[in-house]
Amino acid sequence: MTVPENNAASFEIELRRTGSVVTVPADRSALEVVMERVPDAEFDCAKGECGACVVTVLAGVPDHRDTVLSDRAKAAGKRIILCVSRSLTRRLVIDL
Amino acid sequence: MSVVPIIDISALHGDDDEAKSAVAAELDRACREIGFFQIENHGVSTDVIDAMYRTSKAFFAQPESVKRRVLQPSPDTVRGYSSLGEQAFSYSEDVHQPRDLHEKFDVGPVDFDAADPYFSAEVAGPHFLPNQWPTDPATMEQAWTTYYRAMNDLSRKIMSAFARGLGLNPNYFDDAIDRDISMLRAINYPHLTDAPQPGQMRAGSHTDYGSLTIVRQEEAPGGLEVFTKDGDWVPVPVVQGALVVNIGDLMAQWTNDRWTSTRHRVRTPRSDVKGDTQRMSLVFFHQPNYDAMIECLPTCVDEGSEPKYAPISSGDHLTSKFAKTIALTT
Repeated sequence: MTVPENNAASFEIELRRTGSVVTVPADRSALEVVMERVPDAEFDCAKGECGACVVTVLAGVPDHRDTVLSDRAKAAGKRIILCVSRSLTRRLVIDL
Repeated sequence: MSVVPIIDISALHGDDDEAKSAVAAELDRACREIGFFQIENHGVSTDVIDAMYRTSKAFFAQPESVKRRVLQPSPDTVRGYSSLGEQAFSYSEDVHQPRDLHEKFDVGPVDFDAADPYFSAEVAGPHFLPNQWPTDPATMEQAWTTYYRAMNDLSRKIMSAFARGLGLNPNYFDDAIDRDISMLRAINYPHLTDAPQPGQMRAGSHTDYGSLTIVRQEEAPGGLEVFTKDGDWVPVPVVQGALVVNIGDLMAQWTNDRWTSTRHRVRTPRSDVKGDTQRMSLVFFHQPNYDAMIECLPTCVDEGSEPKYAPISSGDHLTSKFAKTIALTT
């Protein structure tokens, strides 16, 4: 999985259902890190194009880097494509 | 209610303009939001559908060696049989995921004058190549030809209603779809003996290419899902007697993205599903004449604005999409 160079600093993801908090460093994707705790999380293209790894955002503001969510979904900020997107807040809480 | 509406299209078979416009308005609403809808009272007889179904099932039930007698000769000749994993719908080249699990049989146009140079391979490219009919089952050519014609008639009715829904003359698309290069495909998703891997799909996430697609779903485990504008994967339920219709990328482009070509996929059955998980879909891909120019519809651009897309012929639009799929398989 490649990570764009313009990634902001690291951020935290709280996996509310799993009950853990992970840190996404600047050089790794959120999906990679999340899959260490949730190995059967669904994904496919790992390029932000297919929508397989979409999850619900419960708190925090995603920094959308994908090309699959509609403008409406991006503006609402309630979904994130984990393979490419980042966070505009220090912590994101997701429904996983 | 599902995000994919169920629309009674009885009025499209009659002469009541007002009733047709009411249906057209429903289609417009559905195409703006999700680009998918189910149609009831579509006018295609159960006999035609059942015959198509039976003969296709019989074809796929044969040994691989028999099916391969009508093997698709090359990636850009979409005529005949191709088997499990020979096509990638999605992004499998990164080896993250196993290939999509299906086999299929394709035919192209069934009614054209092969002596007319317009339809020759020199002029028409791959769009009017002859079909490959298997000798077994013997009913294959007739059942498929009948079904192809029924789907084409239905597509023309829907395209006319689309024109109304878009504020155009109901005949607007007629000249663009009178020598259409549509394709009919049966996709067989075999019974799975092994549990699927996480994220493995029967057909990976994709949008369709053309003007519209008509799908006859089978009531069986593992089903069609659409990716909504809210960012959710939502199942499209099987509605007895209904057909699922969706628009493709070409239609979205034609409407300057007023309408949406929605991403969809076919999920594998959950590993706790018992019994036979075999499932077959009949899919008609409607595609305008190869030389029809797909240029922003006059009602789909605001005064003083430029259309988003440069004009392109229907044939070039289709072959550019094929090239992409082929590139993914190599």
